[in-house]
Amino acid sequence: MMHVDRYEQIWIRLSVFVLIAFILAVLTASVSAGIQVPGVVQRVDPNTVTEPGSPWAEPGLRELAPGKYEAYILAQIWVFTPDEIRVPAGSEVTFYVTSKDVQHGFKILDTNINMMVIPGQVSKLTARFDEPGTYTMVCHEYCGVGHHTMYGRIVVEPTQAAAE
Amino acid sequence: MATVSVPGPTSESAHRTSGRRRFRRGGRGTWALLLVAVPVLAVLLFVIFRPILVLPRIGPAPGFVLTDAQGHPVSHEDFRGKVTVYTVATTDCTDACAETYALLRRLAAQTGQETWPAPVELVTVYLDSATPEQLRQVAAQVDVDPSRWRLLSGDPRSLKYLVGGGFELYYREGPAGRIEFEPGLVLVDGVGVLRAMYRGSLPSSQEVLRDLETLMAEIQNSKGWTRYAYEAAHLFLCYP
Repeated sequence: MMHVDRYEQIWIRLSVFVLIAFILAVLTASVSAGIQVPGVVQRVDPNTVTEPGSPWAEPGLRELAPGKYEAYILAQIWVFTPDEIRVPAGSEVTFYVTSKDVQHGFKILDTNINMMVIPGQVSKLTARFDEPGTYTMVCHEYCGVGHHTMYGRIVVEPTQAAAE
Repeated sequence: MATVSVPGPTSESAHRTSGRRRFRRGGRGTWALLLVAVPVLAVLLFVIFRPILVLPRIGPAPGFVLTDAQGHPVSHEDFRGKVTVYTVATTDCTDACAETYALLRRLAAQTGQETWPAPVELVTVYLDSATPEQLRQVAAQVDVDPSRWRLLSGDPRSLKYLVGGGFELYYREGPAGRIEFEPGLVLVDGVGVLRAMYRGSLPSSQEVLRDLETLMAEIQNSKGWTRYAYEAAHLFLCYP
C-alpha cells in the first residue's frame, strides 16, 4: 500500500469534500431554487441575424399572452438593442440574446439573468419581474474600450390594480 | 549521526500486523473508490454515448377549449393518449399556410402507414377566431381527412392564452386587422406534456418524423426496468 503523508491525506479529503459540497449545492440550487442553466437554444449567422425575417431584425419586447413576454435583444459594441424595456409588474419575460460581433455578457441585476452572449449562438433565460422598479442590464464580459458604456434597463411598471 | 535499528523478532511481528491492518484499510479504500468510480463512469458513458434517446419534457401543455369545424367544443382532454402535432394558421393566409398544409399532408400520409403504440393526431389552430363554417370551407379547400386532422378555433382570448402563452408562438393583429404570425409546430405527448417546439419556422417532415419515432420508441419501450433507463436519459438531458 502506498504511503500517503498525513497532511496530504487531509488535503485530499478536504478537496474531495469541497467537490462534493459544490456538486450538492449546484444540484440543490437547480432543483429546489429553480436556477436555470443558460444554454444555447439556437444557432444563427451573425452576418444575417438582422435581416428581414429574423426576430432580431426588429429587436424588442413581444407580448405572447397577458403577463408573458419574450424579449429579443441584440448585443453589439457597445450597445444593447433595445436598451430599455418596459413591462408591467408580475410579468414573465424570456430573453433571447445574441451578438452581432464579439463576445458579450448579459446580466440583469437582482434577477437570475446572467449569461454569455456569443456571436452565432442564442442564449435564453426566463425571469419574472414581480417588484416594480428599474433593473439595470449590463455587459459583464469585457468587449473593448467602450465596454463600460454597454448597459440598459428594464423598467417594471406597477400594474393599475397595484397603483390604486 | 544516523542510527540504524535492526528489528528483532517482536518488532518484526508488530510490523507484519501493522502491514495487514494497512492492507485491510487499503482494501476498504479501494472498494470505496470502486463504489464511487463505477457509477460515475457508468453515468459518463451513458451521457457520452447516449444509448437511449428521448425528447425533452419541456413542460405541461396548456389546457384549452376550442371549437371544431362541426361546431363542437374540443378540449385538450380529447387528445389524451394520443401524440398531437399542433400547427397554427389563419383562414385567409396563402403562402405561409400552403407550406404548413403541405407538411401536414406529408405527415398525415406517413404517420398513417406506421403501426405505432399511440395514434398521431394533427391539429391546426386558426388564429383569426374562425367560425365553424369558415373552418369547413378551409377543410374542403385543403382536402382534410377529419379523422386525422382537426381544425380548431375560438375566441381571441382563449387563442392568445393557448398559442402565445402555452405554445410560445408569437402573433399579433396587423394594421389592416389581419393576423400576422410566424409559423410553428408543437408536439405534445399522450399525457399532455410538451415534447418539441419549433418556433419561427416550420421543420421538415423528416425532422418531425424523427421526433415522432423517438417519442414512440419511448412510449413502447419505457416499461418495467427499462423505464428507469429512460428516466435516467431524461435526467441527463440538458433541456433547452
